[in-house]
Amino acid sequence: MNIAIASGKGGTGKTTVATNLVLSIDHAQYIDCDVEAPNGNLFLHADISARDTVGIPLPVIDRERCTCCGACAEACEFNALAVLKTKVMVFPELCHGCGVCLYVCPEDAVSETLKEVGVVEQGFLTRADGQVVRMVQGELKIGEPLSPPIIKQAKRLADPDRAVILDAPPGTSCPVITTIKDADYCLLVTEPTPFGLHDLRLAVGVVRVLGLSFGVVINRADSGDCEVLDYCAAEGIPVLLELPFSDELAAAYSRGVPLVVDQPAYREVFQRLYERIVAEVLS
Amino acid sequence: MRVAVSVREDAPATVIEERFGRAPYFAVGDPVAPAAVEFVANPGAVAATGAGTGAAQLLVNLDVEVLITGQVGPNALEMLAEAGVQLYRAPALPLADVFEKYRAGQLPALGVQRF
Repeated sequence: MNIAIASGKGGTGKTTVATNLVLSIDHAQYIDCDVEAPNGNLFLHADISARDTVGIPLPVIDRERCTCCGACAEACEFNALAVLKTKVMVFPELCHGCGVCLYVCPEDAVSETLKEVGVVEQGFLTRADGQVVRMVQGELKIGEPLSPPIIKQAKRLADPDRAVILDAPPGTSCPVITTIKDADYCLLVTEPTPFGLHDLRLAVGVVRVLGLSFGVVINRADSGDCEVLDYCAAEGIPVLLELPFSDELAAAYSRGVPLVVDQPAYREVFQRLYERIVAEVLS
Repeated sequence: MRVAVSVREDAPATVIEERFGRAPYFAVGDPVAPAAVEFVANPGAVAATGAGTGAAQLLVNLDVEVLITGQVGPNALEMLAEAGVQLYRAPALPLADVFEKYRAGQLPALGVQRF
């Protein structure tokens, strides 16, 4: 089972839902795909046992061989190469590492060098009940614009024998799509406010285009208004869980203590959420 | 002198587009003979990324020697400097006025911009 936790709007509770799910269900692993700001391990406290760098291939031009024919710049979808009269310029921060320049060069003047764009870390934590949870997190290097290569690498490290909980970045752009596109189920976490609803609509648009089976979790459900519930009812979107606002939970959160650790009764709530997801996927 | 001006429309009555990379068109020609100016669509205007480098590549391919625009980003600036293109800054004026100011030497040089 491969479940992605996404949202549209940031700060609605993706990491809260993802970390508490992984602490409540059996044989789980948590993969933090919010590589621009990975924060799941602030709550999981896994010991990091492996750390690997992630790179993308950058073109290197052999000026002896290059005839400045322009084929590489013409083919580059991202305008990361420019061909002047006597030299080719490479703009590393525009390059997506696709390799088309190397492929089209008629003079064999392009080679590649690996540019580090981030890291992936792996570790384990032991729950109070003795179960061992696996944790993987990607982290984008500061100043680098491209997160999908790191997200892909973090997902590749998933252990196929464990349930996968993917903590997605906020928004609806490439990093989110890279995270959720092959999930069995996508949980969209939102809040009952006009902002929450606005971005939920965008997220629903994305998961529908991707053809994913999905449902909604409303966080701080007892605050705000009823618009999210009305929207979900009108669209036939299942609302799988409503979490209340609570000062105690907010206080525990601010100390890095997960909900189900602070209040173990919540484990059952997240186990039921998982069962509902499994039922949705099987139906 | 082959001069390019970033503009909003492909017609002589157009106004300068102050953004270089995302300008819809470039008016390319000799300010001394404005009647012969041609309008070239800028592929950078619709580029997903690298609008500035895409627009600068177009100007290099067109053998432009002078660029008049509002503002240029760091990548395109580096490229245009490397290609030896002279840069001048102009506000959103009608194209004819810009050519007149260029001929009169009234446009300031456009240098490195810090954001």
